Amino acid sequence: MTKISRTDPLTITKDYRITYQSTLGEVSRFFLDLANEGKIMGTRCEKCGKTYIPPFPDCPECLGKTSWVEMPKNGVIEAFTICYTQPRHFKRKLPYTVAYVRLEGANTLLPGIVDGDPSKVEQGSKVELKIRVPERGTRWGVYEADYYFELIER
Amino acid sequence: MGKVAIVGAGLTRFSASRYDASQEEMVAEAMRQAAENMGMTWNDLRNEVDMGVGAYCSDFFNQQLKFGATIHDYLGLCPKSNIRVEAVGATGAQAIRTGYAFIAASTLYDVIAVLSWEKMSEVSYEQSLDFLGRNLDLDFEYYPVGVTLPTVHGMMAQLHMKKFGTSREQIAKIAVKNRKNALNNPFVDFGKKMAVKDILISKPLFSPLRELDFAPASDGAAVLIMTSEDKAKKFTDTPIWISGTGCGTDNFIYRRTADDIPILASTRVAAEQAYKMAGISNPMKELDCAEVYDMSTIYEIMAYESLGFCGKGEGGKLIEDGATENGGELPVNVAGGCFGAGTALAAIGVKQAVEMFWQLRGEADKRLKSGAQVQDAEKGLINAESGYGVKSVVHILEK
Repeated sequence: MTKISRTDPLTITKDYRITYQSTLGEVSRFFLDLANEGKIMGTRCEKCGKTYIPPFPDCPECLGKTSWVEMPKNGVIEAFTICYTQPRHFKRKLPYTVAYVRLEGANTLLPGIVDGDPSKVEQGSKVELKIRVPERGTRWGVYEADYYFELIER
Repeated sequence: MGKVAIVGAGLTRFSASRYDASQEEMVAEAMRQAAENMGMTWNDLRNEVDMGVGAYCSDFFNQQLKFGATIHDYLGLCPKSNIRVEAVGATGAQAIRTGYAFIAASTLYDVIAVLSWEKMSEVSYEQSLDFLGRNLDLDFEYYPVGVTLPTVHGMMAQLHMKKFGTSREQIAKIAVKNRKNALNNPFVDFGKKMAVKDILISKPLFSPLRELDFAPASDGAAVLIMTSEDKAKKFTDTPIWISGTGCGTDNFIYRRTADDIPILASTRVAAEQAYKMAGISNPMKELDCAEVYDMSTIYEIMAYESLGFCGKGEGGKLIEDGATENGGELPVNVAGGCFGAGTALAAIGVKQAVEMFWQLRGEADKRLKSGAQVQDAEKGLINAESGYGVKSVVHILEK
């Protein structure tokens, strides 16, 4: 449906809706095991000795095929910011904290929401990864399960 | 390898919304100015052009597909050759680099028109955060967590303050400087005299950054005419030479670490390449002015460090000491940068070159305003970036 607003020059409002059916490739395993097994799966390249989470089905160092490994659910916050606004389509309660967490044994960082009081979050805060069914409007794509981080009290 | 010069340049008015002009009309506006300043009719100029580099960043924002080539239709540049480049905020800079490569590194073409534009205004702010969110990994950062571009800048500022002791006041000074410098630029809308406290009381967005720590979105267009050493004097007595070009890339945030995130590794790579080509070993002393990508306050501070204007972590001190103010040792963003013009994605990288072209020819006081002219400027640096440094491009321009 189009709508005409300003007339000099002419401004037209139009909505354009796209439906994608995207394949997640081998990385699908991450989302399936998250929902069906309650596990966080990373990948490991034995040749390079690196563990990737988010998972890399192809090792970015040697391009060898990596193997799936279950990750421990505890980690440390390496970077974070408190968000007071969010992109269109996301309907989380504001403000909320986004953090990049180094899970134990990982060579990469895993991004996620940190539940709870944003003022308690610090670089170096210890967190535990938890899994839940997401609220509508808090993520796109896989809706059966979502992970988030909870601060571990000292 | 042959030398490459910029021999013509044009700008449109950059604005939060150029609802008065379509995208192709903006490009025509800039090109008309370029031809006029070169003392040529467009008809004569377009006959000289061998190839157009079409630079617009986003099919999301701009809607028209293959616009990089179809712009030839509107400007009367068919059947000349064409290439389209895309690199988010570095698009315009990449366009210059691509033009350079076609002229210098090959013998394919002699005269290249760089055509850059962006219209960010036709969607809401929340929709633009969605488009900018696609700078992040879709499956693990954007779709499940909602990480978008300014989110990363918030994290960078957080880490820069913690690791290097940079203060909120030092960070805010970048916005104060550039908004004030924008008052010297008749092509931009956001010039304003501000104080540090104005930034610090603005709406929080992505901690510790606030609304006035970010340059607003905008619409705009900018064009260049580039050519080989052989042809340069045919167009102007004062060609401006591209003496160095460099480009680097960097990983997604999840493959960086707390030590990497407040440093722009790709900018360092791009600068090293450009400095080597241009024979620069002490940028602070050898450069007369610089245009860096100030999408946010913290980004300019990190750029100082990665471009070698100061040591690691010393960016806050550099702005505080006034070294990068107009009249300072190395003025940065003398005509307002992105804080002045907004972040019209592809157009910014070329706008930097247009303003530097005028600067080095001693025309900035005429084409812009007198306060924008750096006295006796002969060598300058321009640097534009994709988002959070996934790609970085640096050029050295000299008289």
